[in-house]
Amino acid sequence: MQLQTIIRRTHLYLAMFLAPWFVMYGLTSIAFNHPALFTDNSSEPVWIFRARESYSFPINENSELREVAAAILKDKNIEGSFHVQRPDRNTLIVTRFDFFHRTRLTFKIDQKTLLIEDRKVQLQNILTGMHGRGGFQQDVWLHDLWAVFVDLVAVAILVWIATGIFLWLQISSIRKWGGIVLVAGFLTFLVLVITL
Amino acid sequence: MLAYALSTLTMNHREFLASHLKAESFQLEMKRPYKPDAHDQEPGALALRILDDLNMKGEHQVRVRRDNRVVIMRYGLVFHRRITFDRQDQILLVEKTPFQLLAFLERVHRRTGSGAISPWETLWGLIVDAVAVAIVVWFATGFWMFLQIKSTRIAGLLLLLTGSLIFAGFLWLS
Repeated sequence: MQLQTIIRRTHLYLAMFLAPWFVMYGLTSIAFNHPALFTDNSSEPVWIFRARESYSFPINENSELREVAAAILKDKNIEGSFHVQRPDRNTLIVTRFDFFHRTRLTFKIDQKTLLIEDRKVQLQNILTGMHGRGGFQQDVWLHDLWAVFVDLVAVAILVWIATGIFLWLQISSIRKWGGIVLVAGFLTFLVLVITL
Repeated sequence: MLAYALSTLTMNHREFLASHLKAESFQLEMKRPYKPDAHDQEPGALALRILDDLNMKGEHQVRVRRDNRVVIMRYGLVFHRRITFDRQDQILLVEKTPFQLLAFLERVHRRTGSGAISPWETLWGLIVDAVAVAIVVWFATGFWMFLQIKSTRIAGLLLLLTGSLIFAGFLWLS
């Protein structure tokens, strides 16, 4: 097989396999750039009450927050990907999330209460959540596997650029105009980076 | 696309990379007397005037500290700047973060045109839209061109189907 054929096949097959991610990233980026189009402006509360219960869990100043949050989620039988924060010494907020839902657990340490709320399903959150998902900080195999695909998509984009430039250089009739557009793109990027 | 791909890699491994990075600290860039216009007493208007006078107009946040100093955080792509105006002494202090490649890439990735206040920011927003549309157009035109090539049709369709099933599996299992 010739080098050019290998490059063509790599360019094509990577695109076919990763097309769902590629299209998803393209479409969801619109939700970041135009949040008003996807935001529900109704006056209804965003977080919907599910339960409030007595709850206690030993926490001190040195407790590892992710470990505590994981234990609370396990205790409540809603394990999975989560964020955790401790806005003050008596409050622990654990947000359990997947692509479509978010559940927030607010643990008041001094009052020994646990408030459980579900976030109203909003298109904006689904789109931005899907786009922003990644990283290997969650101890959830599915999340890690998604992060591997995020890496794969990023590497694939670099490969598409490299193979695309190689294939473009083979076509002499569009070499000049392609070159002009490429330089114009780099210059525009440079100017914006310096200006912004 | 190059910036988005590189920044995606660094953001996906942020926890690991962050452990090898120094925290961004502000360093003095400029200190000078500054006398605002008498009309600019409201912090938002004052911030806009200061940024305009410094030729630094763009994405920012403003707050008033307890000691009545006005602090403007100017979020640039290359640097973040903290501009502090001491109303009492009429002194303007400009500090900026040193350049860090990873922080720069992440800023480029996260920057949108939402809430643009300068023509450059509007242009950036338009380019973000253009990238989004281009991605969809690349897929559509690429798919059309793929269908013209008989020799790769079966393998290509199998890969598209496999990728789509894995993607659907993620959504289903999440």
